[in-house]
Amino acid sequence: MRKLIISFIEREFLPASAHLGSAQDDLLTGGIINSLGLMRLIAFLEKQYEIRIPFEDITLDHFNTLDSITKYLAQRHNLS
Amino acid sequence: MNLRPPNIPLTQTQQLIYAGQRISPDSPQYNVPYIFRIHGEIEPKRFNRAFQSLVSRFDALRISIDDSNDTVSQVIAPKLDYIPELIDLGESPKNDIIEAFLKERSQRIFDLKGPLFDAALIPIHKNQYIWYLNLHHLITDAVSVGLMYKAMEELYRTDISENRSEVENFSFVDFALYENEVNSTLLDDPTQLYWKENITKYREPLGYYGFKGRSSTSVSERSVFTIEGKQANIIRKRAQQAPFQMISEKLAIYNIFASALALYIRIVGAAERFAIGSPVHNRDNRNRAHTVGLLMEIYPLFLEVSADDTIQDLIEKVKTSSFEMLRNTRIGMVNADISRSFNVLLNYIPWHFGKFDGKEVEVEWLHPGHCDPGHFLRCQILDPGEGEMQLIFDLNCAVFSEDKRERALSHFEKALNTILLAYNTTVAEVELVDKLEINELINKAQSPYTQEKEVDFLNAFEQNASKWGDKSALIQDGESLSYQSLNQRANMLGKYLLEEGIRPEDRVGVYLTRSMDYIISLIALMKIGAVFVPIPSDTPVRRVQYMLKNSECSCCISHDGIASQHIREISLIDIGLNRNQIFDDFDSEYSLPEQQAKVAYHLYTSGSTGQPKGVVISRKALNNYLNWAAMHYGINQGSVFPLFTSIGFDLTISSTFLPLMKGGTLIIYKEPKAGPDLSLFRIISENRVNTIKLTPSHINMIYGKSLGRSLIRTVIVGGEDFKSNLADELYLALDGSAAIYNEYGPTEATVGCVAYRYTPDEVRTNSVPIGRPISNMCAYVLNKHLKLLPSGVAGELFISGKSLADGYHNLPEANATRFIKNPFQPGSKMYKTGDLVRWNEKGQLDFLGREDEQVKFNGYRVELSDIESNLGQHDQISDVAVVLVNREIKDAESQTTNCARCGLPSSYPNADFDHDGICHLCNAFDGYKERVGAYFKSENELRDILMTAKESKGEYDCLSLLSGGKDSTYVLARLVGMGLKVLAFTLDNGYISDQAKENVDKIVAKLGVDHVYGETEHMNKIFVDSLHRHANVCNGCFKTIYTLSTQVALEKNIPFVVTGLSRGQFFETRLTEELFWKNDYNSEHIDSIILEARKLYHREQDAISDLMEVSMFHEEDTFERVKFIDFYRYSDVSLQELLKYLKEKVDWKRPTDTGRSTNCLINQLGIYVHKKEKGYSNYAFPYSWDVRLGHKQRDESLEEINEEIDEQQVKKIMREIGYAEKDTQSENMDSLVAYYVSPVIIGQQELREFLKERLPSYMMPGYFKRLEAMPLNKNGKTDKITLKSLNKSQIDSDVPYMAPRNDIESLLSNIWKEVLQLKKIGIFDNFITLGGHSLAAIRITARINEELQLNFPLNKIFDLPTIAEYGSFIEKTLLQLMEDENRSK
Repeated sequence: MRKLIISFIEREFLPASAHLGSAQDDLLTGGIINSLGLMRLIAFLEKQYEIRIPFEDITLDHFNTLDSITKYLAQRHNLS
Repeated sequence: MNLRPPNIPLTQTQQLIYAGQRISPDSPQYNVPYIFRIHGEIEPKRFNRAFQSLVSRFDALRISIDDSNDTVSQVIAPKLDYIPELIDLGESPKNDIIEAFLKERSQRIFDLKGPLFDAALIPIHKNQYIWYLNLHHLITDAVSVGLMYKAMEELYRTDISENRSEVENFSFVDFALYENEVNSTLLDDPTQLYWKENITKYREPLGYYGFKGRSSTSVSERSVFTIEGKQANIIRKRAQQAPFQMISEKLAIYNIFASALALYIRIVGAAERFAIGSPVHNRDNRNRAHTVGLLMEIYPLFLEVSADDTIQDLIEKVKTSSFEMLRNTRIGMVNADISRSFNVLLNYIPWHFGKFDGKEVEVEWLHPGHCDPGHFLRCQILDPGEGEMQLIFDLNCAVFSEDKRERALSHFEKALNTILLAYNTTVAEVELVDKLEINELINKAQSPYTQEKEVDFLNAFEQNASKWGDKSALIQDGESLSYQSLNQRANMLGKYLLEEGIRPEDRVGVYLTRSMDYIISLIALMKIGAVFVPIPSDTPVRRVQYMLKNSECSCCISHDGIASQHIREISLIDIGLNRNQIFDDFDSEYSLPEQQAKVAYHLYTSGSTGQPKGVVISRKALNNYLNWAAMHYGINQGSVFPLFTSIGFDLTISSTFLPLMKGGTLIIYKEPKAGPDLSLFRIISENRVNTIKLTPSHINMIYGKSLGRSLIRTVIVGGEDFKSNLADELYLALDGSAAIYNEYGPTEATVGCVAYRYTPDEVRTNSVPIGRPISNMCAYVLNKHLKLLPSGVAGELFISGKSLADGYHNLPEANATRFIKNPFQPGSKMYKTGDLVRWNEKGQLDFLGREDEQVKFNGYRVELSDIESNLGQHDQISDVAVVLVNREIKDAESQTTNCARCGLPSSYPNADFDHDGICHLCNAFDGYKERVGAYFKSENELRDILMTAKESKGEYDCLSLLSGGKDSTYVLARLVGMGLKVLAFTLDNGYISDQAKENVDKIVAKLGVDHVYGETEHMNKIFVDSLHRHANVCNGCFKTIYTLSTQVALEKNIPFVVTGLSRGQFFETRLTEELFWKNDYNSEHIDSIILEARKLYHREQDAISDLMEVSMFHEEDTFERVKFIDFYRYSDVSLQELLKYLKEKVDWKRPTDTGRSTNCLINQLGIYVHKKEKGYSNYAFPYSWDVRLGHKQRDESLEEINEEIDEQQVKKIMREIGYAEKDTQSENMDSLVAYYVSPVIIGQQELREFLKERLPSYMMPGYFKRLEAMPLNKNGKTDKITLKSLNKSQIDSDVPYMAPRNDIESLLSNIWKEVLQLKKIGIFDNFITLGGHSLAAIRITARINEELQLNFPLNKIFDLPTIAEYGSFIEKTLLQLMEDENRSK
């Protein structure tokens, strides 16, 4: 799962041939992904894992870093 | 090498812009001009090199539009040479020169063939240069400008000629191709549903400050407001805190502004549901993030904000909705439908531009003076990320008038502050106006008139009496009364009343016709300090009693015996009877001691619901109105008024008092005892008055009457919304020489409290404004929380001042809610009118309708008056009324109850159950039960009748109708048992069950009788016709049986046809309760009526008369040769007996293949349709009679009428017989019905087309109906209650509606209503079109004969099928009778 997310982020949001620095990089507050980009990421996750991420869950706590995203998916959607 | 196709389709959003530009080719509405003011020196050549590189780098700049073919596309030139123009504005040009240049330049129209941008360099002085860059929206968006600036700055700074291979290529072409590719796949995208569903809900175009509709111009004006750094930082800080905090700060800031805009719109747009256009930049990945071009799409942010929402609620809604919006965006999604769902735009633009080659730069986004006309309001926020923000409003000039444009930003600013600070306030509590505007509004609320000196009516009148004693004060029917005499009589009556014990402040009912007595009484009562309570002569008795009681009248003045029967509890003074006694000493001068009374009168308002309320009007209030009105309307000794409106209507106060106060003359027109009041026509034809007070409906009544020579010079219009086109008509009809005033005022504020003088050349609005408050009165436009609303915004009108009523008499609750504390003038009260108004641009009040006239229709808020005034603009229409008809919702079957005795369901029309749950039919039946009993006879009598057949020469004695069911089988068996020669007849309607057929064959074999099957190829058409006419199949089937069996009987010379109808079915098809009402019951008389009805029945036109041989029914002889006998009229056999008999004699078996208790497969279709259309089974009524007459058990009946119906089977049969099911769903929905008065019927389509240009589609009436004249209620206002009660077939028919005009017509209309089970019937409605048939004819004729003690034949109603015709026939008959009677005397 982690790999999948990383490759989505790298493909969509990072400059060509750049890589995500670390799992603690601030994706949103760090300017890597803008809010529209986050919507795309969420749409991607929802489609990929056939889940529905409710509005209340879309917070910085859950989506600002790769770690927080995977933690969120594990806790709320039993994904690993 | 690029192998891109030379022509690329436009993206969806480009298409929208292209289309908008094509519609307005000369409008620079899509120009996006910027200036970058660079503080430092720029080298032009280097600048040109950089710019050339810019053009090479961004392909969007090389776009041109190719619309030479059918499909429009864009072409991207591989190379474009472009040198920005170097502009010479002279040495150190002044600012106005620069501005003039920029204005002109930025409004230049682009040739779409390209280039779609215009760049220039303008040296201002040595250290300041302006880089001017204007782009067509087709190639740019807000993000693009930032990208281009950044690139340009870098290219200039580095001055390295562009080597394209080194720079990553972010191509617009890539985006456009991608957009085109995904576009086709979007149709199946799940997000489509989100947009589609919402768009249909958000079709209502948002209005601003009272403006509605579309804008005709792209001209727009820009207002700019700077949000100071301190305030801007508060916004940025709030964005990081609850409740705004979001995943992104920008989104949070956007939400703050969206909340403010939503609050602003909710108030100035007065819409609960609206969408805010929100540009989404679509740069959702790395490549697009760097792409220049029009990538942005504008999505609607859907919001529904109620007045009771708190700011916190509103913020949450914005947050959720903006998230939902973002989540459902897909590149290429926005199409024309989506972009039409909003007319307001919110664009939050991060606005950070670094230095240009180390030099300071100021960036300005110029306004080209135009905007897409679909965007009424564009709100743009430029946020450099720190320091102050710029708030830009681009306002469409047609939508926002100049005063609104000045205020809009300040209102928005107030909304923004509220959003940031007052989370717990509700929307309705928010006041957008600032202190300055509040003062202005409070000033506006004041009267512009000053009252010089106020006189008391009574003093003025008495002075007139002494000054002009001989002058005519009153005239009625050729008789006139001078001022002196009027005064004397009033004195004498006053004296008499004092003697009768009337004291000051006593209430006295004045229950009189319009007459001199009435005026004398009012003046007399005022003189002795008593309070008059006008009661019009046509007031229903109970209401008279209520009014006298409620106002605690100590006595009642009346005359002509109108009150004799109703007034028992208080003393009655009949001026007519006591005339000699009261006016005994005509020569002597009485005068009465002066009284200081407070209250002048109580007037009862006819509220549409509940009991009327007595409004208490003080003399102070009355005098205030009269003084203002006399002055303003120029009333003087020469004024001649008619008194012709109801004395119970507060409008009449003007006519009653104004002439007498100023020495003028009042001509009295008495109302008729019954029927319509035609006084107005008399007034016009007599042409004696020069001043008149009336309602717009009155004006409509005289519409088309020649007024060219009318003496009328002053027209005061009140009581209703006064449409501009009607005012124009009136003005022209009076040769432009009359002063026309629109006077507004509820009874609670004494006749008129706001007034306007009509001028023909004013700006056209739908209705004539109501103007400004009269002297000593104030008018406030407030919201629910009594906050002042900005000019233009619709709100409720509140009235305060001297003319305010003291309140309602003895109604503390109503007083507390309607007469409330005036927050603008402590210590005073104001009255809540319930009327919607707004301040228009000229500072006058516009009337927008009653608050309760605002209806919700399909979820939209609709102002009926809005539709009315638009339809009223049609050339051929003189008057309009629109009503919302709530279709009756039929009780669900589970909710129906059944009569405890007979089982009649509550869903039966007009079913009325008493306390014991017994229905009206059973209760009435108790009264004539015995006479019904006498109708039934014994089997012996039947035998005697049938035995006469033996005398005829035919082969058979009788024909027995055999369906194969138990009842008809029993009949056959009994007839055979009587020793008769019987021919059995069965109709094969195509749906008799196999087992029923087997039964038939077995029975006739067993009984040894001859048998024939009748059939017709037209059976299915007959079924369909029957379903349309009667909502069942049985009627058609029965008639076919009667028709075919009569043919057989005629052929074979059979004198009798015996039916197996049940007793209940007699009451469904032959008998009516009316036949048994008369005490002198006469069986032969009933038989003759039934025979008469049978003749009519067979002569009615329907599918059978059209398709089958029915000529024999036009021969009287036929009914002599073939008589119908109902077997069960002569037999009272019980069910057990019957079944036992059948088992023994013929071995009859109940068929099991119909699944039901019937032997016919199609009748469940009839039941299904009947239940669906009428809400109950067609068997409910006959079965209730079977039970009532003891031939069926209630439970048994209920079980049968509640039987489950096999819908699949029903639908199958529908298809077989070719019956298209009516869409009862849509028929049962609410609908808007527009009634119009016009000399001709105007096609529905034409009216739709006419309105289509003027109204949004959700306001389109479903029906249009022409009226001969608008029905009026007693006060001369449009009677909307009547209009709401017409049913669909009445509306659908071409016959105009006309209410009954006299007593006879009212009587007929009441009878028709009861029998035909309709709510309203017009006098031109046709009996047959309304569903009348021979049985209804029996009932109606019997009732008419009963009421009038006459003996009209049944067929009269078919000869004279309208109430108007029948009514005039009755009138003639009665006159003839009277004449005959006189002669015989």
